[in-house]
Amino acid sequence: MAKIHAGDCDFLSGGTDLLPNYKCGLNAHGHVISLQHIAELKQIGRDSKGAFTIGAGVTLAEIERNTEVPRGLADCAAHVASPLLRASGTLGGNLMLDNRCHFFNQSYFWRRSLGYCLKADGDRCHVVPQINEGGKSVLNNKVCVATHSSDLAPMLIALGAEATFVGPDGKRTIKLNDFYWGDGIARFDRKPGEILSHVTLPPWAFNVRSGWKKLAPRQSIDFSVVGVAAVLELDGDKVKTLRVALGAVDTTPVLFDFSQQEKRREPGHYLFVDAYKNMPEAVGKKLDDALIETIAKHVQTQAQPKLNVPMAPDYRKKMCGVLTRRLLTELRGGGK
Amino acid sequence: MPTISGSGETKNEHQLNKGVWTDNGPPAQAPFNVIGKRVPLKDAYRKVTGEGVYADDMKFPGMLHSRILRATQPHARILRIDTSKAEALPGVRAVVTGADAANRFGVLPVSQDELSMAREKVIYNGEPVAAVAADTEEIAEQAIWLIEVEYEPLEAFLKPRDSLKDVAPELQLHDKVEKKHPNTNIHKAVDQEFGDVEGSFKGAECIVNAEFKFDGISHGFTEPHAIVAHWDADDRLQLYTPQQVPHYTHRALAKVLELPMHRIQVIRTMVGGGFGGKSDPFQHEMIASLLSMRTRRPVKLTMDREETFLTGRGRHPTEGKLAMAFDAQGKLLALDSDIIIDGGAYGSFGVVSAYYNGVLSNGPYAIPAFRYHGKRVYSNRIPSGAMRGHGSVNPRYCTETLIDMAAVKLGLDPCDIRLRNFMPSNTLTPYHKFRITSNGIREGLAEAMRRSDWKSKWGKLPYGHGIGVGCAWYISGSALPIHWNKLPQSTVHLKIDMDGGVTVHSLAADIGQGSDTMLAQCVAEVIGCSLERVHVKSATTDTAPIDLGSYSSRVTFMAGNAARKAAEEIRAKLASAASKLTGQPAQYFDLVNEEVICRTKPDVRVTFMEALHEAQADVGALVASGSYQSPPLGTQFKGSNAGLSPSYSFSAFICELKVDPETGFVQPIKIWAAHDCGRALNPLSVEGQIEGSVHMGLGQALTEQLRYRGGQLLNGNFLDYKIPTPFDTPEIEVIIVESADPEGPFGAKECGEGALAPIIPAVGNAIYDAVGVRMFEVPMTPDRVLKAIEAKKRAEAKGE
Repeated sequence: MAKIHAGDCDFLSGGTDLLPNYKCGLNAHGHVISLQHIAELKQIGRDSKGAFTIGAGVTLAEIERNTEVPRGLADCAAHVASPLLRASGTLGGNLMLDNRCHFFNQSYFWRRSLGYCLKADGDRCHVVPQINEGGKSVLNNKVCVATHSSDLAPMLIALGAEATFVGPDGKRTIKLNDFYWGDGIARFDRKPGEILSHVTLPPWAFNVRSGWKKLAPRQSIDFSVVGVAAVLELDGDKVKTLRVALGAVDTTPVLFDFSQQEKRREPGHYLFVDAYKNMPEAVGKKLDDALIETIAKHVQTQAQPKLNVPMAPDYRKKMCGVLTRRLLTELRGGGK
Repeated sequence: MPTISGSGETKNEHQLNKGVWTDNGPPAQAPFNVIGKRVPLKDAYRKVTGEGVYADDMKFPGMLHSRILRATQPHARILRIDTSKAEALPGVRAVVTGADAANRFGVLPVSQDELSMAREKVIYNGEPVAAVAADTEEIAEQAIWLIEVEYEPLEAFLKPRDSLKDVAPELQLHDKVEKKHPNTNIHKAVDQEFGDVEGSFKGAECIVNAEFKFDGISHGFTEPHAIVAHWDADDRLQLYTPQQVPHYTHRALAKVLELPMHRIQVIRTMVGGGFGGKSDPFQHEMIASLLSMRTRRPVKLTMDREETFLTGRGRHPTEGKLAMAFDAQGKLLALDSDIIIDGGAYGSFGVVSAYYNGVLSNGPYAIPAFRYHGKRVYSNRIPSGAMRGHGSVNPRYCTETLIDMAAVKLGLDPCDIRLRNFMPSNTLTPYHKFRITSNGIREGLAEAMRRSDWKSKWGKLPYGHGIGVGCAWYISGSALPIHWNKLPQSTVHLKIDMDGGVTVHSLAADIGQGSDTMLAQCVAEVIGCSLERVHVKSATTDTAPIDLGSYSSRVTFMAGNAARKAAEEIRAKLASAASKLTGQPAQYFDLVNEEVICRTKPDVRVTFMEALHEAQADVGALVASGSYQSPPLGTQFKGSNAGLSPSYSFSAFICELKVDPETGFVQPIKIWAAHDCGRALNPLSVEGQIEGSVHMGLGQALTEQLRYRGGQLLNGNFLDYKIPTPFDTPEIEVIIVESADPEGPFGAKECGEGALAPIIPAVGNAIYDAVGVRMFEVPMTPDRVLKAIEAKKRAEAKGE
C-alpha cells in the first residue's frame, strides 16, 4: 500500500501525534495506513537470540509498566503526556514524532494570518529569520529549526539502542543515533515506504545506571521543553561509561558520548550544535561534584534551544545544566 | 460569632446544620430541613451520564452548519470583500458579511461598539468578517476560505501604553472614546480621590510601593461556544445558546435584528462552564441568527477551541503602580493606585472593569484615604471582559503584596497586620458608602492560621519552603442593573398543580454553579416539601420571568430571595388550607418534611398533598410570584454606583509551598481557604466553588497566560494554554465561615467569585517567605521566579 500511495501517505499507530496535526492541516496526506493490527510490532522482551527488543507498536504505557527495561527508559515513558495518551501512543509514534514549533503547530487560520512557514506551506522560518551564508546575513529560506520533542528518542540513544526498519527493499538495522539527522523538516533518515519494526537494546544497557529528567511547564500532559537522558557506569568511583542525550533543544536529539565512541551525524546545516567541541574528559576520572559540574556546564554551553516552544530559550539552556547535574548526582548515588 | 466548618473538619451534617447564632443575631430560620444540606447538584447525573444536552448535541430537521471567516490582520481597512466563489460552492446556502447587519451592540448600554461582523475595518486578528451556512460543517469551512478579503494594514495598537497616545481619527478603534481624552484609544478613565492622600503619605511611618504587571488570561471553560439559531415557522427566532445572561442577549438580538423582543426566544442550553466568558451578547449569536433568518432553516455554529479563545472576554492584561502608607503600628493610612487595563478590541463590561479595578480595593481593610487613576484602553487584541472575580483580582494581588511588604518593613506578622486593618461588620465604607453587613474575615483568618499552624511556620521554614497569606472581599451581586429600569432584578414564579410537583420558573442561569439546586432548596425549605418535588425551569425566556443572569455573583442573593418570597406566598396558602381542614388558626402551622403541623398541637397535622389539594379547591394550580430588588444604597457622585452590592463576601487564604531555587518551579503543598459565604445553603456546592476558585486562581498565579506574537494569539489551545493539571494542584482545605447576612436568603452571600482573588497573593507572599523574592509579574512562571532569585543573589553578592 505504501508503494501504491508513495509520497501521499502516512503510517498511523497510536495517532496521538499524527491526528492532531492532520486536524490542523499540517502536511496532511491523502492516505493513512494503519499499523494497529500488526501483532509482530507489539512484542517486548528477549528474542530467540537473547537480545532485548521493543516493537514499534508497543504502547508507552506498556514500556512504563515493564519491569525488565532499564529504569531510565521506564521512567522516561512514564512521563510522556498523560495516562490516556500513553495508553494509545506507541514507541514507534514517539520516535517518529513530528518536530514542534509555535509557528507550525497552529490552525490553518493562524498560519494564514502569519503567512505560513518553511515547515508547512511557506517559504521562510520565523524563528530564525536570518542566517549567515558566506559571511552575509540572508533570509532563512533553508533551515527549519522546529524542536525535536520525543522523550524516548534521547533516552534510547543514551542507552545505545539500534533501530530495525522494514521496507520495500528489505530489512536494515542502524544505530538510533544515526537515524536522526537534518533540520526540523527532514528530521530523520527514513526511506520511502519503510516502517520501524523494533528497537534493540545492547546487552550493556542492562548493566548501567540510567535516568531521565524532564522539564515541562506542568507535571502532566506537556511536551518536554528540555529532556535529559543519562547512562552511567562506574568502575569504583571512576567513570567507565557516560552518555548524556538532550531532547527538545534542537532539531534532533543531541548525544554527548563522553567516551567519544559515537557521534552525532552532522545534519549539514548552519545551526548545528556540536556536542564534542571542547568536550571535557570524563572516562577514567573520579565522578566527584566538580566533574559533574564540569559535565553539566559543558552540556549547558553546547545546548542551543530556540524560541519556538514554551519557556524562554535562555532559561531552558540553563536548565540543561541544572537537570544534567541533578541526574548525574542521582545516578552516582545509585539512581532513583 | 460566625461559625466555622468545611472540608477539613467532620462532615457530620447534624453539626453543620445546627441553628447558629452570629454576630448579626439569630439566623433567619433554624433549624433547617433542606438548607445547609450537602445535596448533589440537580444536573450532576445528567452531566456525568451524558444525558445533558449542550447546543452542539442538538439536531433539527434541515439543520445547516456554519463557519465564521475571521480577520487575519490585527488592524486593517477592508478594501474589498468578494463572496461570489463561496456562494457558488455546492452545498452553500447563505453567506453573510458586515453589510448585512449595521446595528452595533454590546453588553453595556454605554459601550455599544460591537458589530456582528466587521464593516469598514477589522480591529483584531480573529474578528468575524463573514460567515457561511452550508449543508455540512466541512463545506462551510471550505467556503469561508473562498471568500476574498482585501486588507490595507493600519498601525496596530498592541501595548496598552500605545493606546494612551493621541492619534489621527482613522487610527482610533472606535468612534466613542473617553470624553476626557478624545483623540486617543482610551475607552474609559476613572479618577477618584477621597481623604487626605498626600498628607497621609507625608506623615506615614512606612510607605511601600511597587509596579506590577499581569498577563491576560482566559476563562478556559470546557464547552467551546456552540449555538443553534432557528427562524421558525411562526416567524420567530429561537436561539439555543449556553448563555450566562440570556436576558442581555435577548435585548441585543432585538436591536441587531430589528425585531420586537417578543418575536425572539432565547433558550439557554446546558452550559459547559462560563466563568464570565459567556456573559456578553456575542457576535456568533447574531451571525447564526442572520443566517437562519436568511435561509429559514436551523443553523448550528460550533466554534473550535482557538475561536473560543479569540472570542475572549478574559481577565484584562494589567499594569499597575500602587503605593500604600502605614503608621508605626501597621495601621493602614492610604492607598494610591494607578492602573491601566488592556481592554482589547471592544468595550464589553470594560467600564465596570475600569471602576472595579479601583473601588474594590476599598476592602476588606478600612482605607482612610484613597486615590485611584484607572484607564481602560482599546487595543488590537482579543477583547477582555468579565472573568471570575471581575476587576478585583489583579489589584488585589497588588495590595496584598504591598501589605506583606509593609509587614516585613515594620517587623509585623503578615496575618497580624491584616487583623489590625480589617473593616468591622455592620459598617459603611467612608466614601463610597459600601454597606458591609456580616463579615467573618477575622474568624476566617484566625481559623486558617490555626489549621495551617501559621505561627510556627511563617518565617521559620527552611530556605525554599514558605507560607503566605492573602485576603479578599467581593460583591454579592451588583446592586444596580446594567439597563436602568424599574423592573426587579430577579423574579421567580412558582406553580404547583394537583400532581404535587413544584415548578420553579426563573431566568437565573445555571452555568454549573448550581443555581437550579439553590432555587429548589430555597423553595423546598419554605414550603416544607422534599427536594425531589421541586423542578426548576430556568432555560427559556418565553416561560421564565426576567432575571438578570449569572454575573457579579448575584444569583444566590437575588434569585434566592425572589424564590423565597414566592414560596412564602404558597406557604401561606398551604397553611390556610391546613387551617380549613383542622380548624386551627393558619398562623400556627409549620410546613416541615412534607407535613403541615400545628405548632401548639403537634398531633394535629395534615400531609403536604392533603393541604395542597384543599388549597387548590376551586382555583386549580397554585401560582405565586416573588421578586428581589436591591435596597437604595450608596451615595451621589459620578461613578458611585460601581461596587455597590447589598452584601459582600470575605475570604482569607493561606498557602504553603516549595520553591525550587535552581529551576524556579513553585510547588504548592497545601491551601487553607476560609471563605465567609454568609450561610452555606449547600456546603457541598460551596466547597466545590471554593476548590474551583483555588484551582483557577493557581492557574493565573503560576502557569496561565495569553501569549502573543504581534496581534496573533500564540497559544489558543489547551496544550499551550497551561491550566494546572491535577498533579499541579495541591490539597485544598476549605473552611466555610458562616456569618448569616441579614438580607441574604437564609443568610447566604456569594461564594463563586470572591474565593479566587486571595490565592494569587497567598502564593506570591509564600514565595517571598520561601526564597525572599517579591514577584511583581503574574503568572509567576519558573523563569520569572528564577530571574528574581538570581537578581537577589547578585544584589547580595554586591553587598546591597
